[in-house]
Amino acid sequence: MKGKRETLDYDVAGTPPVSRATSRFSLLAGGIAWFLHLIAVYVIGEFGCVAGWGEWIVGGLSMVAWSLIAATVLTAALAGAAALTAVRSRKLLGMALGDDEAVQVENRAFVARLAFLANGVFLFVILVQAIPIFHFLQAC
Amino acid sequence: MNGAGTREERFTRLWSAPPGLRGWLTEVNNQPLGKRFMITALIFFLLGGLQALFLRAQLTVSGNDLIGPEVYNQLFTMHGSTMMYLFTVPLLEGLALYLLPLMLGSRDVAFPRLTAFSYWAYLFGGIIFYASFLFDVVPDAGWFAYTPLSGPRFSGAGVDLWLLGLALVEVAGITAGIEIVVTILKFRAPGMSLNRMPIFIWAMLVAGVMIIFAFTTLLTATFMLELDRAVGTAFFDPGRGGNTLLWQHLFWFFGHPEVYIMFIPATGIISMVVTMMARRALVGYPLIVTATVLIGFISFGLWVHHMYTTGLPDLAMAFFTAASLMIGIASGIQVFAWIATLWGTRPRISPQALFVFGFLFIFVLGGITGVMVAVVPFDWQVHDTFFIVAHFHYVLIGGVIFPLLAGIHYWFPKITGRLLNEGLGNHSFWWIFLGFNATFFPMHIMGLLGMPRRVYTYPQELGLDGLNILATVGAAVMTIGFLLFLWNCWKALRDGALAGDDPWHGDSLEWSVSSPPPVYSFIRPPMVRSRHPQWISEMDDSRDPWVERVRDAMDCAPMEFRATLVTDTSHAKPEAVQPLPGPSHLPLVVATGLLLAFVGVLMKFHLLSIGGTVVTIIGLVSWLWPDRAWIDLVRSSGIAAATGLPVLATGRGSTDRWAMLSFLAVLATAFGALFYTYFYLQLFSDSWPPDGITRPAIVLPVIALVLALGAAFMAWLARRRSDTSTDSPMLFLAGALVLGGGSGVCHVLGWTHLNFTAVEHAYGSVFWVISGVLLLTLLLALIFTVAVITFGKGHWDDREALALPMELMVLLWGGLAIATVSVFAVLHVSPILLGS
Repeated sequence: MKGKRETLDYDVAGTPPVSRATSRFSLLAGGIAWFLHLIAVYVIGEFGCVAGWGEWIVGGLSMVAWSLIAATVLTAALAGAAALTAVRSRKLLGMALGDDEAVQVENRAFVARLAFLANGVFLFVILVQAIPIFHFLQAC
Repeated sequence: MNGAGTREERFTRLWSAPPGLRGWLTEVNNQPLGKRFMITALIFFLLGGLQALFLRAQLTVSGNDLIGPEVYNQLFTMHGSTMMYLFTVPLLEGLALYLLPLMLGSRDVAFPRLTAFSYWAYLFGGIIFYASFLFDVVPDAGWFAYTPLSGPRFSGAGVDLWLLGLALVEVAGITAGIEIVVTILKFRAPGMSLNRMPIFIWAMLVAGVMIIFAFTTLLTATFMLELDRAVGTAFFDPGRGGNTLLWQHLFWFFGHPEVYIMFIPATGIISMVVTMMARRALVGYPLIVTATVLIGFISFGLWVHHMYTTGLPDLAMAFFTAASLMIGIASGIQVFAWIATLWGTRPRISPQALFVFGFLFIFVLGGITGVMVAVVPFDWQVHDTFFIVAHFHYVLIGGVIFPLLAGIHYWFPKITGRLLNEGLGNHSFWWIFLGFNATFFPMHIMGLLGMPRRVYTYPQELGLDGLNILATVGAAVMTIGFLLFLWNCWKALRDGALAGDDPWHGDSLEWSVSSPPPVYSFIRPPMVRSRHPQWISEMDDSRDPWVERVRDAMDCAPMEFRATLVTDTSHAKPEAVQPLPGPSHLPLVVATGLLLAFVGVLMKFHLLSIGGTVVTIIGLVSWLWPDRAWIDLVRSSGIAAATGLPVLATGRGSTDRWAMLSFLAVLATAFGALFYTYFYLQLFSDSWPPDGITRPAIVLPVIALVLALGAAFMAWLARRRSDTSTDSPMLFLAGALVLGGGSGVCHVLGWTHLNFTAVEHAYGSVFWVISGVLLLTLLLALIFTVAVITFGKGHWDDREALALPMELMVLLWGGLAIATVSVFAVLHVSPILLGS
């Protein structure tokens, strides 16, 4: 019973241009990166300061500041990777949309757009949240 | 036509509860239960509003002694608690539970019995709250119940009633949240991919996920506080290593998202009404969805901005200021999208349109003051003043109640079949709008001039009598507006004009069925081909023979049992047919058992607590126990052959799998809150474990860990055997039982070697509670395994019937394995790594 006509509304014939895993990574990774960043800055800010890391100066900066910078770079990289993945997915799905308006492709194109917007904002929020670090380079 | 009528009548009977009281008590259908949620919430709203009027009357002039300080404390506690826990969220949940199947194109929600349980738990929780008035022990520690004020030393039985009532309401909230999420993910009509979901559905999806995480955190915190009060643990007692600020952290980790749990669905309502007003597609649909998801995420990162005056490190406060400012971006996107949608249109001025405009005006003001209080120095100035009261009422009434009123005006005709009177609706809007601003705008000034909140009076020298009189008059005006609204509803129910199926020319699926809708919502599953299925006339276009075959097979079928279509999570491709249970007394039994257990705790009548717990457990086991006769009925119905879809789905097509994953998310959140507690208390402790307490030996926990992992592996092997052959997996299941049981024994043996109890120091409290929750989880996994063995005994060759219980069992054991490793790492490895 399975013919091309029967599955046209839902599935693209052959492998979809963007896999489910890629789609999920681009959708969720930015949010997870932001959450990890928030937890990291809270834990380092609250626990690190109380534990005395603020007085431990390395290369002119406190260990609290170094830890915060490291956390920011890593999580911003993750959000940035998710945003780039979303951009690439949009491009691939945009091409596929021209040939086949399957629900699956249309939906993943939407998810890619959503992911691009969300990851962009998450990346921005991570960077804005990192601004206070520069006011507390040598103390808490 | 006669034949069709008979067919519909039979279908209606299948989906209806039995008549009379029995039917009322055993009802599981989403429509009557959704209405019950909403009506009960509105009753609580009236009670909360009445309390507000007393508070306002007391504050009319300085030095007033109308109700005095004690009653004032009690009333502001009950007013806040009622509005936050008993009114807004339950009303939104009720509206969602009613509307979801209609908007999604399904016949009911994912777990009908859970809906009923959620309602009973909510009702019983509210009754416990209000029973405090009968016994003259009204809670008086505020809706936030800060410790140590709410601890055993400074407050009486009222706080116990508050905590236990709240616990039931939280359980109701979490179960409704799971219900909403799974329904949206799995019960969408064919074709309703994520990019075609109505914005209200997106909003409820985000709010549902938030409820699962936020309410669980509060449930854990209330459990800890009640343990402090009832058993004498020391979580919040600084004298024994506890910390009072810990409560604030846990509470606001719930409390701030709670605001958005109310606000996000309200924005969903606004988007729906704005689309109807403008009669065109919402501008920036992807942007609004993005903003909704972003708000859901970021709201969990703002809890500290309620705690700027508690002495946190400047650095931590700076991060939360930045995060707090960022949420303004997401809210701004939504506001501009609504304005852009309305731009250039000529919306008809109806009551729902007025409430939307009122919302925009008030919410923007509330949002701006929100940005102001996110800035630390400003917050330090206005904290605990009436400026904050003004701010959050602008957000909660403007941002939530106004949209709710718009939504009620919008969907009232669908729910009741009657139109509200527009003239009365317009009048009620203006009374509410003007009264609201007269009440709360002056409070900004009062706060800036130093009028403290949470205090029953204020000094005459502040010169605030005039503004307070204005606020009280405004409250009276607003009350008249709400009474007009209620009168309008009452009048419409009695003799309102008939609404017809689609009085607003709405764009979503609920407007395609009659008003009020049939109890089964859709006799034939609809097909969705656009974001506006009612506006695009191809809703029933038969382009896809396979989907048409599925829809034809489900047309007024099956007739033997209730069922609806399950579709793919992302692009809504039909995956399975989900049988749904009919009327059942079990939800009421389980909720009553919980009520009895809690009342027993309150009255310190332990026999009643034990009895209630036994009733709860028996009810739950009866509820969840796989029923072979039911499975045989489902399989023999022929619906699987007709649709070509499974009726006993596993994997992604199973709603039960999603329920188990949600349960594991709840469990993970509870453990997360407890781990946070552990490290937070350690941070402020001179030594950890404290002097006089020996660090627990590691040998038995290691053995318990290995055995638990072994049990999880055995469960996995059992499932693999069951999936791939007809041979009995009994050996592996028995192995899981033995290893799991051994792990439990090791836990208990480990406890007998401890030289500390749960009450002498907070270290002991958190240690015992974490390991106790782990043991309970292990017991649950063991009971589940016994259930699978009992179910499968003699039927090991029936792989189809066994697949789902096996899958759920493996998921549970997997969750337990992760929990065991995490608990081991926190309780036994971290003290070694971090030292004391």
